[in-house]
Amino acid sequence: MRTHAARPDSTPQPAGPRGRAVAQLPGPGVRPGTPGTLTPLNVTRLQATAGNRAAGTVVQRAIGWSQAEVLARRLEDAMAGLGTDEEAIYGALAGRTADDMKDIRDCYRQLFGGSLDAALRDELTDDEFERIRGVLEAPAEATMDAGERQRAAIDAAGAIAGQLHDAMEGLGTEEDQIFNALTGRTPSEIEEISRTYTARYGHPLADDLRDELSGDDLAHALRLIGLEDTGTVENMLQQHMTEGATTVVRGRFTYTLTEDSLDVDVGAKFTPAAGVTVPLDTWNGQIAGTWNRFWITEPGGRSIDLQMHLRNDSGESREIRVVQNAVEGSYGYPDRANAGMWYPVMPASTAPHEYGHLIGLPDEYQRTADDFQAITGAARTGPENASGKSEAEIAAELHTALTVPDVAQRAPGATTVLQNRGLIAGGLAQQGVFAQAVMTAYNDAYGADTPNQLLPALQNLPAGSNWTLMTVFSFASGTIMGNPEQVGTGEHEHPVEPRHLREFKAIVHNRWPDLDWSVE
Amino acid sequence: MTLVTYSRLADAPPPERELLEVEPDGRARVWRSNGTAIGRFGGTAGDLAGLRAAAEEAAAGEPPTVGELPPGAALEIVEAGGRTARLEARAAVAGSWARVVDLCRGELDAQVAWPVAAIAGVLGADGGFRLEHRGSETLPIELGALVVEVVLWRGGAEAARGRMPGEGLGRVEAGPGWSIQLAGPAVDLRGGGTLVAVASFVADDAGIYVPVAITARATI
Repeated sequence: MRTHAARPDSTPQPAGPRGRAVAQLPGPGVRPGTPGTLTPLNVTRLQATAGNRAAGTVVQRAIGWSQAEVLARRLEDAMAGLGTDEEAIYGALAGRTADDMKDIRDCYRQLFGGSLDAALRDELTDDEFERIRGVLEAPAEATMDAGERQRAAIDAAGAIAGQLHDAMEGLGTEEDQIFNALTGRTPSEIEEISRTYTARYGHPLADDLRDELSGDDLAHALRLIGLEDTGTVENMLQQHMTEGATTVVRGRFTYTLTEDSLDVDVGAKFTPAAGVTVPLDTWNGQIAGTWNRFWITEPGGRSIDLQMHLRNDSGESREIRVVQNAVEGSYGYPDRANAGMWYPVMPASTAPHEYGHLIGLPDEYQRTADDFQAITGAARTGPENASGKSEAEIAAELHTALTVPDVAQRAPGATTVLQNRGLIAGGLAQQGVFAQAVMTAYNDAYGADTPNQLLPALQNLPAGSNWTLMTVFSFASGTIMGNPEQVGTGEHEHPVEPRHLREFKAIVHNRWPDLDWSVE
Repeated sequence: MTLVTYSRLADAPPPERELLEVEPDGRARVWRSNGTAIGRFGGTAGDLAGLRAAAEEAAAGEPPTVGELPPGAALEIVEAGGRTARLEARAAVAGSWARVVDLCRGELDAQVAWPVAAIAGVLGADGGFRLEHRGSETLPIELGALVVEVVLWRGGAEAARGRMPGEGLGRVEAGPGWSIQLAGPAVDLRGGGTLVAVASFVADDAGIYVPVAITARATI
């Protein structure tokens, strides 16, 4: 999730500072563009048919669209006119992921009509360009394993803390470098940046900002690090489906923090079909029953009540169609709700699940092991290997099945292998460490190139033949964001887990960083 | 060469795997994983001339290409005239592909009238839920994973809900004449309403395991 409590540069401008034509970008959630232009939509399309698809069901985080716009404008500002503000460029790029950069580049191209990388290459000396080369060429998160992602996140927090320190040390202060470094960070990222800064430099970030800044600049900086009582959090997640398409989570909420409560307000534009009444009170009751049961507390006795709310806002860019149930007054096939289409009558868990997407949470089913570990911090264990065959031997059997000349026989052959070795039992996928060990053995033996790895090989099977096979090698949780009806809620798993509330805890922690907050 | 192929797929629960192929002579092959009946079906396309014309019209135009889907949405893939359209399931379609998409959606439902190896659900007014084989061929099913979920809807709200796993039923080669009365969950039906029962299990489609869900309704 990305904070955009302040959007000082997001106002459309009539002309680019370097005299180039400036386009006005669509707002977040608006479906932009035509097939010929590189919009997030079209990037998503390309990803659905290119490399990322082959990576399997990977959740990719990316900066919010409005934040990418802010940063694209700031980069242009830093390069405009005579001279270049290198420090502002370093701040803007510090700790950005490859997926962040993709959106920033797209925004830059749409706004200013050229390549961001080429502009940077033109403005910076060789030594200066070397400082940002790592960010420009960072690998996509989809290609990283969980450990690499974690290391990248730690490195990013360190890089941003370093930028902030650079901006404030010595004579003078680089305000733009500070603002750029802090723009578009989630509450939990701000939490990590602040912690890293304090550990490295021996004093709290907020104290140094107060020493170095004043007036509006100080207020803006404090807003960016969450020392304000209100704000907006935004994110975008791409989820690659088994079928090769991509679903996109667009999270956005505003919050108001008081001494004893954190109120979370989510707006959506509900568009009912003719004759349909939007039962907002019913949905809010269901959402409250799932989400409004938590407090963020600290050992000294302070307790912040977390309250979430859904609001129908005709001005919102996120639109949810509300269509009539097939049989009025009841829900069942062919009704099928999703994040963009609700029914006036739905199971009590549906609106709370979709609300989870509206606050920026991903699905927790058909996820790769790495994704699942990244999302949940845990791995399900599953059955032991009792097949009498090693994982490498099973991988070899699987490879044989998946490479027979008759493509139509590949899925049945792979199914037989997995059934014989205990990874499908009673028609059900047996997820867990055994399955993951087989996948690792397969990729070690045959997956030097991504298309040859196991998940891409399964994904390329004929349409409709791979769901159970891919499920063996993926994970699901039993929470409200997962698939409790298939997985079952585990002994220590609840519909809402602390991970789902991580950003809310970070909001409270950023406001009162000296206290040890936890979710109850 | 097949006249049209249509698939509706979702990895989000409940998974969808709805497949339709129509040959140039009108013969149809269908697999259904969700609905009032699941399994293999196949009859004759109801409006073959219309489907031919729609396929030609589609092939002459640019096929729609899906952009981003909302989480939980299903994906439709339609092939006609050597071209492929990808779109959000159940979304309205405009342009040259609109007619062929509409006809395929309708044909998918219509073919349920011609079961080949299928299982249907019959829900009684007393809440009793029975699975019955339909068609002339055997459909292997795995009932070890069977779950029956029953919801009584009244006034647009859940009045009662029950869920019961069908432990121990195992694999069944369901052929002509096969049926089973399911021991559904105990749900208080007093007060009446619309009862919706869903039986979820796994079917074996020529060596491929497919999660399926049969939905039946009754007015109580």
